[in-house]
Amino acid sequence: MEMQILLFGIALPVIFGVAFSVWRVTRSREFGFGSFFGVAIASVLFISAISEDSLQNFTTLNRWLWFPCSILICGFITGIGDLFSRSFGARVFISCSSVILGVLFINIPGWENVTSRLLLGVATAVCSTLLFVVVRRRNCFSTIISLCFALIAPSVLAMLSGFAKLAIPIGAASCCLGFVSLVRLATQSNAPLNECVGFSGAVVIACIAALGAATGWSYDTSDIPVAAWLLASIAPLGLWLGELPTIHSRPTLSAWARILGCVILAASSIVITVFVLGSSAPQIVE
Amino acid sequence: MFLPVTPVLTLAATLIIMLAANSQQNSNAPSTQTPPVVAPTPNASPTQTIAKQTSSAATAWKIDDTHSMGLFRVQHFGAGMFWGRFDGVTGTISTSGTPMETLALNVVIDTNSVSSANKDLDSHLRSPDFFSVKEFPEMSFVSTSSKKLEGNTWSVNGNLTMHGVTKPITVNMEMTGQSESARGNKIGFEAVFTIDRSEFGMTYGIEKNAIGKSVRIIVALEATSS
Repeated sequence: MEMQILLFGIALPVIFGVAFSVWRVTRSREFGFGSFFGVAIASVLFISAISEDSLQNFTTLNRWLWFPCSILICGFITGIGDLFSRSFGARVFISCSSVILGVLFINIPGWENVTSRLLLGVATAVCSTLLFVVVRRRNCFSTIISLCFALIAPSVLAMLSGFAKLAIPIGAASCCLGFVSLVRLATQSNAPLNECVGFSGAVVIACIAALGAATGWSYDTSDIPVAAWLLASIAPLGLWLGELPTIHSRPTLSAWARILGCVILAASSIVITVFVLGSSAPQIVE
Repeated sequence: MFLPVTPVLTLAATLIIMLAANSQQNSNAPSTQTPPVVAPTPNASPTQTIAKQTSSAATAWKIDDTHSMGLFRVQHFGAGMFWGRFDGVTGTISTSGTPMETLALNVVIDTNSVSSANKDLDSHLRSPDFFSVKEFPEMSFVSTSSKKLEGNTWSVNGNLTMHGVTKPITVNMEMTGQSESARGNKIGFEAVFTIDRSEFGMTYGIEKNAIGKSVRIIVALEATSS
C-alpha cells in the first residue's frame, strides 16, 4: 500500500501541479487549460486503476475496470468538444452524450441491463451538467478544493467496503485536485472561464463521483447503506450551496459555503457508513 | 393312495404365487450401495476374483455441505501464515471399483461463504481485490481423470475455476474413511494442494509482498451415498 500512496497520493499530484504551474508561468494558453483538465484527471485515474489490476481480459474478468475506461472516454470526448465548441448548449449536448455513451460501456455486476445503464447514464449526465453550470459561475480556489473534498467520499466508502483497488484511483484524482488548488491559491489571479477545471474537468469529476459510487455499490458486500453511496455520488454538487440567493453575491461567504456544501455531503456519507458498519475509522485490511 | 386333488392344487398354486411374488420383489429392490463381497471359490483363479471385484458399478456420493469445508493458508507480509475457510462446499463424488479404483469429483464452493473470523477482513476478501463474489459467486473443481496411488490416495487431474479463470491442476486426494451408519453410507476425503493465485488473476498484495502468491488449500469432504 505504501508504494501506491507515494505514487498516486504524492508523486502524480506533484507532477500534475508542476505541469499546471509551468503552464501558468509560461502563459502559453492557446487553448484553455480547462480543455485538458478533464483528460488529465481521467488519465491519472486510469493509470492508477490499471496499475492495480491488469487491463488484460478486463471485459470478462476485471470488469470494474470499465469504470476508469468510461471516465477516460468522457474525458477525451469532452476535452476535444471543449476545443471546438463555444456555446453552452453545444457543451451540454457533448457532455450528456459522452457521459451516456461512457456509462453504456460499463458492464459491472448489477448493471448488466442496458435500461438500468441508460438510467445511470442519464442521472450522471444531469449531475455533470449541474456541476458544469456551477463551476462555470466561479472557477476559483474554493471550487477546486471543494471538489477535492467531494471525491474523498467515494474513495473512503470504497475503502470501507474493502475495495482498495477502487479507492486508490479515486483518491489519486482527489489528491491531484488538492495539489492544483494549492497552486491556484499560490498564484492568485482572476482566471478566465476556460482556465483550470473548466468544462471537461467538471464533467469528469462528476462522473468519477457518480460512477465511482455506482461501481463501489455494485461490488459492495458489506452493509454500507445505499444512502451513503448516493450522498457520495452527489457530493460535488455541494458547490451549489454557495449559489444560494443570499450568499452568492458575497464572494468570501460564497467560497466558504461551497467548501462547506461539499464537505457536508462527503462527511455525511462517511459518517453514515462508519455508524452503520460500527467502524471507528477507515482502515485498509490486508 | 388317494389324494384329494383340489386341496393339493390349491396349495401348489399358493406356493407358486408366493414364490413368484418373492422373486418379483427381489428384482424390484434397489441395489445396495456397498458392493457385494465376492468370496473366492476354490475353483476360481485369483485373476477371475479380481475381475469380478472390479466390475462393480460406480457409486454416486453427494457432498455433505455441513461436514465439508475448504481451508486456505497464505503468508502475510512474509511472516505469519493466515488461515481462512469456505463453508459452502457442495457437489458430487463418483467412485468405482472394489476396492475403489477410480475417483471422479465435481466440487463447487460458494465464494460468499469465505470467512476469516474478522468482519472487515471478510469484506475485503469478498471484494474485487480478492474473490469478487458479486462477479464470481462460485469456484469449482471438476476432475478429468484419476489414478490410484499407494494406500488410500489418488492423484486426481482436473480443472480448477477460480476468479473466472480455469486452469488444469493435479490434486492428491486421501480417503480418510468410509462407514455404514443409520444415516447412510459415508465416505471422507481430504485434499491438500498449492496454487499460485496470480495465475487466476488474483494479484492483490503480491507486488508489495503483503500477501503471498502461493496459497495452500486443504479441502475436507464428507459425502453420503445417494
